[in-house]
Amino acid sequence: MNTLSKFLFLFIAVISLTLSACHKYHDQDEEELITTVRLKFTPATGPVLTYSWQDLDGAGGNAPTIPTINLAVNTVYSVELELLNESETPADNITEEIQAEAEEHLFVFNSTTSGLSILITDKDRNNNDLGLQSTWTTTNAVSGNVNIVLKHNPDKTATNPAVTGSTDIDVTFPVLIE
Amino acid sequence: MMRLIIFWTLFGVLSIFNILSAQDCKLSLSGVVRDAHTGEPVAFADVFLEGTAKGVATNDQGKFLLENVCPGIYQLVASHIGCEHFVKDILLVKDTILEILLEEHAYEIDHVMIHAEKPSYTGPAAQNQLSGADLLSRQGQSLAQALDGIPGVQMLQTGSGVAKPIIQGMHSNRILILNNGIRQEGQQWGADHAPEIDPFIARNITVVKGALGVRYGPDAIGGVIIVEPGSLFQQDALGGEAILSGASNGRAMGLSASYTGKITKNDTWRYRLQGSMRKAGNARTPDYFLENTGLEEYNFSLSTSMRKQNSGLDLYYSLFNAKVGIMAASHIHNITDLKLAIERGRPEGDGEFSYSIGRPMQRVQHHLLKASYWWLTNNGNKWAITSGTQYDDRNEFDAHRPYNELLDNVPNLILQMSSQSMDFSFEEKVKQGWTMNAGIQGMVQMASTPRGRLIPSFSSWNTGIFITERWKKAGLPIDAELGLRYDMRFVQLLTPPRGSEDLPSQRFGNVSWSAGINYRIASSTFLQFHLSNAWRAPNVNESFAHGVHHGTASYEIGNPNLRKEVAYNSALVLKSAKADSWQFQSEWFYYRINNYIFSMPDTVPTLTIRGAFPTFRYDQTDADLYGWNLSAQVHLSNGFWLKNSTSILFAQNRELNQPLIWIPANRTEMELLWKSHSDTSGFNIQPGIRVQYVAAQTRIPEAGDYLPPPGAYLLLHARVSGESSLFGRKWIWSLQARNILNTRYRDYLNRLRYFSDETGRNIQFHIKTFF
Repeated sequence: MNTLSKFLFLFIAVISLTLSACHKYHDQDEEELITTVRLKFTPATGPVLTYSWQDLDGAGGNAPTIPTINLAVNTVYSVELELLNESETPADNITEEIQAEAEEHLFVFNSTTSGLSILITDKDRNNNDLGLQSTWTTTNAVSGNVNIVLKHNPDKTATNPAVTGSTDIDVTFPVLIE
Repeated sequence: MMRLIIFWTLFGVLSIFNILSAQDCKLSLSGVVRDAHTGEPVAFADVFLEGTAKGVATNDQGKFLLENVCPGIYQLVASHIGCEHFVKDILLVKDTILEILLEEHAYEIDHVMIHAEKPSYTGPAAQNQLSGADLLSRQGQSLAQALDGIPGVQMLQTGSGVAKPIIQGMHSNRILILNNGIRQEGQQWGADHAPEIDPFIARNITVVKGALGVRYGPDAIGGVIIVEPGSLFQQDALGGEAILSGASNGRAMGLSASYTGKITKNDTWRYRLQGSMRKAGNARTPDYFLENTGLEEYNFSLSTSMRKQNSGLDLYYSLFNAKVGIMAASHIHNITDLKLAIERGRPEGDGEFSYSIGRPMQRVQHHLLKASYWWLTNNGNKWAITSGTQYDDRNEFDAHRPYNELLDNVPNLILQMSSQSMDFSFEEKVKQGWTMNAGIQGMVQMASTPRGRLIPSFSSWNTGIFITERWKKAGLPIDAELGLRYDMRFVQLLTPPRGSEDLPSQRFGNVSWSAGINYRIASSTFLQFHLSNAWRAPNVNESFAHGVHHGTASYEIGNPNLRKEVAYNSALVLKSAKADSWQFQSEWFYYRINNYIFSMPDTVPTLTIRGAFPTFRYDQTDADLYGWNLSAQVHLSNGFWLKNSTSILFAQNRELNQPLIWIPANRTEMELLWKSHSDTSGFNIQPGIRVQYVAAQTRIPEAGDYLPPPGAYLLLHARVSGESSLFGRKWIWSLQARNILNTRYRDYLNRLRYFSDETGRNIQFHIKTFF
């Protein structure tokens, strides 16, 4: 075993040993969970309405509870969206983290309800849509669905940003306008 | 070259001598066949001179004697059941005594150059072995990639970095990997959990096909992969060796070095240090890079062995340490994303080259500690005790980065498993042709899931007891084997499964048996028939999983009522060889698997806050698997050889009367290879060109997949390998080009096929030298 070979061998051994040092996670926190999508509807006049899509035990197990969003005809609502982890007490609010990384996130609203139009009103630092704030305008009495998708790392400048990036949230609310 | 000249000169002289004294046939060829590994004589090995009636089996002491042989050049053939027989030219001019050491490396005794395989007896089941230059050209890749292309062996991939071997259509918990004699205990159940073994560590890899429950214990249904680092006491073990490998696609690099030395002056103790590393960046298809498909591996092993005449001790420690990126585009958050990705048919961007590995990724460590001791008693019986300790730590990071930055470096799923096994075995000295082998095996295992909810934590106790009898009588062309085994497995959950407060326990037991015969039809033609069974208990994920499996965009629900899965297997192997002319091995196999466990798509998707996931529930059926594997090579002329390797497989769900899902498509490959005359002292080169054809899988079940199987594909590969002496050293090298034409294709058994093409052209090289 000449010097070069010895050096080579030692090099590999040291690298292996160093890099194989155990990765330990003493942090035993529960997995980060989003249990709730909460929509707060504020009309120009009248009471504030709150609707929450909830799956308190996470994916699987008990089925999620999905309320019907009940709105009045010919009304403009300013809507505030919140993401919560209600499996913890007090509930963990994830909305702030989305706000902090606004450029990487986008809420996409798909309405199959003919008497309802939704417009995103807040922007990220690049002046692209975000979706934590929106305006929902109702016209005639009708029922349908609204699908809300939170996209992570979408291409916000694409013609259809909804088909880019990956999905962090994908919930559907039934809507009844009367 | 010099050797060749001398050889042919002598040949000429002898021919004349032969003609002049054709009647003078009084030479004798005698000797002993030994196991180079242990030095023990090998009884009942066949030794004969090809093309003559001269042949004999070695006696109890491994000795043989061939008398009244005429002078001349002969092909000496020595074979032993379970070993590839070997054939070599010998020059007989006087009474000759030989010592044939059965060993995988080549060395010289008298006039004889002998290449042979290590006699790890595997019974009359079909097997293929990789060693020497053939193994070298496959190193620097994952274990599954190294084995791909062996007839009946394919791989199941999750992108380009994660690959699992498939033997005769079976993988994961239906095959067994023996790592230096210890059952590999990791997280085999996941389709995206590659075996935690570095092929650089191996000097010898054997794939044994068939239900081999008696010999290897539970899970050995499809077959067994035996990874052997090689004995510290084999013939040319002392000294060092280094391997450098590289590949253009992914700009991959691999480096491995080992050194074996003496500890004591009388050479009864030796040690070996071995280390390897591997690094690759983003792989490339013909049109775009696959983002986040790099990998890093740092592995090492230490071993020491003691050998005395009647005993031996081995201590071995190895660490496998890998970090593997999963192609970002393939990590799906829900079924809508999957549909979008499939519609797109390729990743969003063209990507770029990078060595950096981000989310999603896996970080895996596997520690193995082995201690074994064997001794021979005065009456020639062999006892052995082996202890194996393993710790497996698997960390998986989802593509979904946590919103809380503190959790950024914390895996979304941690699976840990520690296993302790203890084996006692006894091998009786041959008595009138009978050899008895018996043993007791035990294993205690503890598996926990500190993070993530997919499977509960559990502990398990496993015991097995077995006995096999081999019968082989000198001078008879037939030998046989019978075996019987009983296994028991007890599983206790340590955390309740999802939606329950209980901690259920399960108990499984099964009797396994095997019977096989090996019949020598002609001097080097064998017919082997094998009837056997093997079983496995349902794995904890199959019984109790409950959660989203992000790697597969599915919601998996276990079935606690699953029963044991039992496979019955019959196999017929015909193999034959004629030195410098042809060689083939043809294998027919049939399996009936009762209570075959599979995941059945549910009509109702599971609704989560991340959208809908298709639901899969574990269920059981009876299944049939049957097929044919062929490997053949023919010497055309002037050193040109034509090689073929073909695998055909059918798999049917008997209850639903439809094919099983994820079964490898039929395939064949043809290689034209030129082998120079084996002149070991000089330059030796072997160029070859290979065409690989993989048919489209047309036999698929109605439901359960998101996309029909991709079409057939044809790939062109080339290689050149050789041995050279340069700068006073021996160098073994190979240069290979895979997918030369940069063909766009997708493989049915790669989950990447939903999202992107397979990788394109790849030039690989390997250099090995000794110091």
